[in-house]
Amino acid sequence: MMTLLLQTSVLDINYVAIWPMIILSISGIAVLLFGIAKDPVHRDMSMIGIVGFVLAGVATGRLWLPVKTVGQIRAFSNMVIIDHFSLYFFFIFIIIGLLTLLISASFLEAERLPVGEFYSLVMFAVVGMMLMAAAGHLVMIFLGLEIASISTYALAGYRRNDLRSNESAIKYFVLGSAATAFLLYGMALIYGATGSAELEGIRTAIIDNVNAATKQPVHTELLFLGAAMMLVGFSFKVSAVPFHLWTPDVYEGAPSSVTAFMATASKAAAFAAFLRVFVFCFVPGYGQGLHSAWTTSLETIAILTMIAGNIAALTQHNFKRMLAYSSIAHAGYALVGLIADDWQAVAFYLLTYSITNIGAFGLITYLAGRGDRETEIDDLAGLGFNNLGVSIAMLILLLSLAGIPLTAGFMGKFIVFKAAWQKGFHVAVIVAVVTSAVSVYYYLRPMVIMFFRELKVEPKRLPLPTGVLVTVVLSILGTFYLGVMPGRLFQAMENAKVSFVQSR
Amino acid sequence: MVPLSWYLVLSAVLFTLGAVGLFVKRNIISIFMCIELMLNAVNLSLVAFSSFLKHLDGQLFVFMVMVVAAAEAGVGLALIISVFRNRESVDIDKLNLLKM
Amino acid sequence: MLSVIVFAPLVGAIVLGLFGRRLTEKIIAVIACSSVLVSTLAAFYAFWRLLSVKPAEDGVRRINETLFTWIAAGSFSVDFGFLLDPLSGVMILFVTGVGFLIHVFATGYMHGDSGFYRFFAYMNLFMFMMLVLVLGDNFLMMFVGWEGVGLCSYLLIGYYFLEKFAGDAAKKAFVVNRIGDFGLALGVMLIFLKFGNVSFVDKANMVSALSQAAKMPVEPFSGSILFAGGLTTIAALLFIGATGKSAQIPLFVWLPDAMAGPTPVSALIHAATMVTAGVYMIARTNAIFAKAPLALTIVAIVGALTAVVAATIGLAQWDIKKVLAYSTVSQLGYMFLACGAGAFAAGFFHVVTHAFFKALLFLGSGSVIHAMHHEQDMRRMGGLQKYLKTTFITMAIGTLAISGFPLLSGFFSKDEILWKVRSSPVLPGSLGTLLWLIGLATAAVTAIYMTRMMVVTFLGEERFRKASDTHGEHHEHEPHESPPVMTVPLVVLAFLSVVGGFVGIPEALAEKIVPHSLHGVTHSFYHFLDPVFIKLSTTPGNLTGALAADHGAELVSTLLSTLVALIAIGVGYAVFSKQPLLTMPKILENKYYVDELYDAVIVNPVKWTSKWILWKVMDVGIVDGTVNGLARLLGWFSIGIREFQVGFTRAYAIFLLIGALTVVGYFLYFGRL
Repeated sequence: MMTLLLQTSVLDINYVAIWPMIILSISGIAVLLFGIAKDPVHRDMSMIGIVGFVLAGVATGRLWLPVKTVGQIRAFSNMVIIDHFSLYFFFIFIIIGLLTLLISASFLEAERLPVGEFYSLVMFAVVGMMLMAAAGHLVMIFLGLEIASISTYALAGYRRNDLRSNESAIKYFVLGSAATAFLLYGMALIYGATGSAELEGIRTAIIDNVNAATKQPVHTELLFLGAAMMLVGFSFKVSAVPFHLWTPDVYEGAPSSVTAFMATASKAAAFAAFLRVFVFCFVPGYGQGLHSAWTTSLETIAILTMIAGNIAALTQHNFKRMLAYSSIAHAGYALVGLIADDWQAVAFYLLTYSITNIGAFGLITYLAGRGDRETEIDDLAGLGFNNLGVSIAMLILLLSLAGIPLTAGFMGKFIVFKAAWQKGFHVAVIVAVVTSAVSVYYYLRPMVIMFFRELKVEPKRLPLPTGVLVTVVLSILGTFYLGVMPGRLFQAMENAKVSFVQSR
Repeated sequence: MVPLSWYLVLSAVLFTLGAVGLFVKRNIISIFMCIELMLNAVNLSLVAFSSFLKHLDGQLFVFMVMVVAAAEAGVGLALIISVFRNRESVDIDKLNLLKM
Repeated sequence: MLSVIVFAPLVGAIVLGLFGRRLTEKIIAVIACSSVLVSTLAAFYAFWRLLSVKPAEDGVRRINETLFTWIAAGSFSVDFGFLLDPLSGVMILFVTGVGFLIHVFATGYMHGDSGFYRFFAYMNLFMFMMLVLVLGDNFLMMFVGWEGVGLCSYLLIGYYFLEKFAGDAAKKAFVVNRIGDFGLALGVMLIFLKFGNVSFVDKANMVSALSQAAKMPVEPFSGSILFAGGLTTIAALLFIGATGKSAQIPLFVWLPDAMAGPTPVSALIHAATMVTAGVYMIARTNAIFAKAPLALTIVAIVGALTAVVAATIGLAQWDIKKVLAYSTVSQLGYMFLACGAGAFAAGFFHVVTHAFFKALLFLGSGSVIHAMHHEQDMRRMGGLQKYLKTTFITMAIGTLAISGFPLLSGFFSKDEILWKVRSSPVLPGSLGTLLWLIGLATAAVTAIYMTRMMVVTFLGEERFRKASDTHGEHHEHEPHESPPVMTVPLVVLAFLSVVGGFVGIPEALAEKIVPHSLHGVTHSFYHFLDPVFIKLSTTPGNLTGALAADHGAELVSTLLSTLVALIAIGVGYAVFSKQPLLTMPKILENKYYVDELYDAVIVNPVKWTSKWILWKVMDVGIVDGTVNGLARLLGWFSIGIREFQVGFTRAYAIFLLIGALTVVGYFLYFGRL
């Protein structure tokens, strides 16, 4: 007991490794304090937010090369692991966080909602997500998840006087907390079974079949029970069937820019932790078939998710809800990459999906108009003539979500399906291909309405806010860049050193 | 000395009670307390494991869970208050605008 | 150089899409046409360069241009590259050339339309996608173009979005095409799995899928091989893709509806270029098809059936564009029949000649429709030759060409197809002879309905006046000939329809009618393309292949098809020009009797069958029914899944717990094992 105490007193503090989180936390607090000040100017606060994210991005970028040489940086007694895996996800979170700020500025202004709190919540959520991606210990995953989730609960209910926003937040809060409890229970059981709460310790215990603390064999039933509970928790967070029911309601009710954030960054963060635990710790060949247990069950879940998400979206008339179902379906595709044990494929898929989706939601925040109300697909009628630029942008983004070649969506799907096919998950891949063929139908329905339907009333739309414009342009550029020339990114990812994987 | 399994069973029973409460209770505050019950059931497991394994990480975990639960309570109660302001009710079944 | 061909129209599309709204019609027209003109000139230059390229080891001249590596994942890599070889060379010549003419025509046809810039932005985008499809040097690029042209076609069919039928037609085209695309996607995937790449040409340290296929043994002719996952399966899947895009049975139903789009669109996309993509793909992948005799036989049978079914349906249509649409389907059937018989070059030659005369006919019909103020029903036309001289003459040339009138382009290509089917080495048993007979019958029907269309539209009584009276609205002007921007393309296309065939005169015929010194020219099409197609081996049990070298039999066949065409044109004229009875009452009775006989014995049954059985039942009932039924079924499922979304948080909690229990139960069960 004493030695253990002594060990924990060696804190292994390494601020360099967590610079991105520190920067974001500080700028989050700065925005918050600034918001309390008298007559805060929106533009200044946006500036703080943007600078914070950019600096965090720079800090992340500066970690890339050191990590390339040493493989990974561990800090705080293995609590934080900075490797290319975490850095890659940092980039996704930072980009999405930044774009979320950009698309919400005009909406907050129009609704007269406090800006400072909103920005700081987004930034804190991003810090939590980073902790999830960089976690080396179950407690870090839990903390990161909760930092991210609690911020998001508050964001979902940000329009305090709106019944839908309230309802969305409460549903998300109740169900999300319950799912977290499941996840936590799973963590506890795995801790008990393996005698370690460090991911590396869990992995070693499972491979050697020795409980790290008691030196006895790993308790199989506790391990399986724990893995099952964690799988439930993560499946909820990525909104996989049958744990997806909260998604459409919450996505519809939350403010559009928050929905964008939840559908992209939150999902990516959940996948990052999912990958860390399941792909890196529950490796094939050990743990009495734990690997095949989770892959087979996730294969079923992935298939159900793809089918249910895509088919439910077919008859949906609310644009946000349709994209919610579509995000369920996309979680299914990412799960196909997960069961193939291929973190690169999943990460790339999440990047393509997030980049595209944030642009689509950015346009929705603009089109939804005052009160975030005009989110029916029929509200788009005649947009193709009213505003050709916006409708073509929307068309490109929807085509990418549908996975049409030359767009990011196609490339992401292609990589994931290829990985899964090579690992022998033929049924899942076939279902994925068929359902993505079906999905084209509902992605193109808005297009039909935009281009082939007469507009009923001339809507009074404001000019496109700069933030949304920048987001959409970046999103479209990213969509084409990833769809046409993904080679360099692939190369970078293939060379990425993730020691957990390499030592397998 | 009480064997580990007793703690684990008690913890599982508490967790299940909390989980059942999620759909039996209609008052949002009660539901919220059920969630707290689930978290604390897990805390019991963690402490029991920590003691059984002679390993401190479990206790560390418990403190973190407590902190998080407190934060969650803060946000959760704020949300409940805002719902009550708008609807003058904390019946979760009345929150039924978003569906299909 | 190849990039210029491909990207020039894209530049046009982008400029028009972004700034078109602010430009005047004239500037838009100049931008749209000049972007295609640049592409056309570049295509001709590239073609000229190709002629001087030294052939590769396999005898094929190629120009390859790789822009960058598109996908590189592990050992798998796909280039973003273009390939010019004789096949794509010929294709781009007529795609850009005919495309340019149609663009010019459209500037007149769309004059005054409120969406002028939108129309040309889509058209230019279409040209870009089509050229990607043709010039792409791997299956993935081709697939990009394939989807791209589909998208543009979809946008253009629905161009008159205010009309409900246009939206519906666009949707139908899209849904039906997805079915085909699905086959194509699976085929490409299978190719990747089997060969490890999806390239058309060998590259450094990569042997392309097609070269690998060319070296594989011929697969046996048996039903089970169809599902064995080998070349036959690949070929069959690719062909499913082709049936969608090229409107073959059972997926042809979208094409006639696609006529809802503006007429230049019908001419460019739904007659001359996009719909022939299926034939192009089969010719491109002939290395795979040549090893799969069963797949070839399926292609031939489907092609022949489509040809005859569509032609008979064409007899019963009153909408001038619908006649041409069914005619296109029928002619596409011919092309597939040729490919299925192993005569890829003959099929491809028909693609080229068909592009000329069908574009001509469509543009001509556009000119008629323009003159008639958007009236498409032939019953309200008649006697138009007085007013539309140029249109009438050029369309008459087109009609003769498609009917196989001697020495016009359609005559040579169709004749070659029929003979190659008759003497096919790959079709089993005497199937070649049977399909030849079907082809001959179709040729007759084709000549009849085309003549009917011409006669009803241009000759006889001027019914439009009466029609406008009954509608209570008067045409304020007489029908007027179209402006020169519209008639000049017609004349050019008519010229091409006349002389286009002279580069591909069948050898047996050339010996009789062409001076020997000119044989190099008259057969140059086949000589030029020949290296692209790999040698076919005779299928065991084939009875027709032996005829191939028999020039005497070939001449007899030519004579026969010529006679059939001439008689059919005569019959068509005789039958349909006598319909307006009032003109010659004296001779009427006898002739009437003949007409009645024709009506009772031939025309009515055929009309009746084509109308009620083929069109109503098959087209509208079965095929539409399946598509709609599928959509409805999915709709039910969709609502069923959404029923779970009751909106009560507590219900969601229950589902969460049930799901958790299931997963936990599964894990525990698994752990015990």
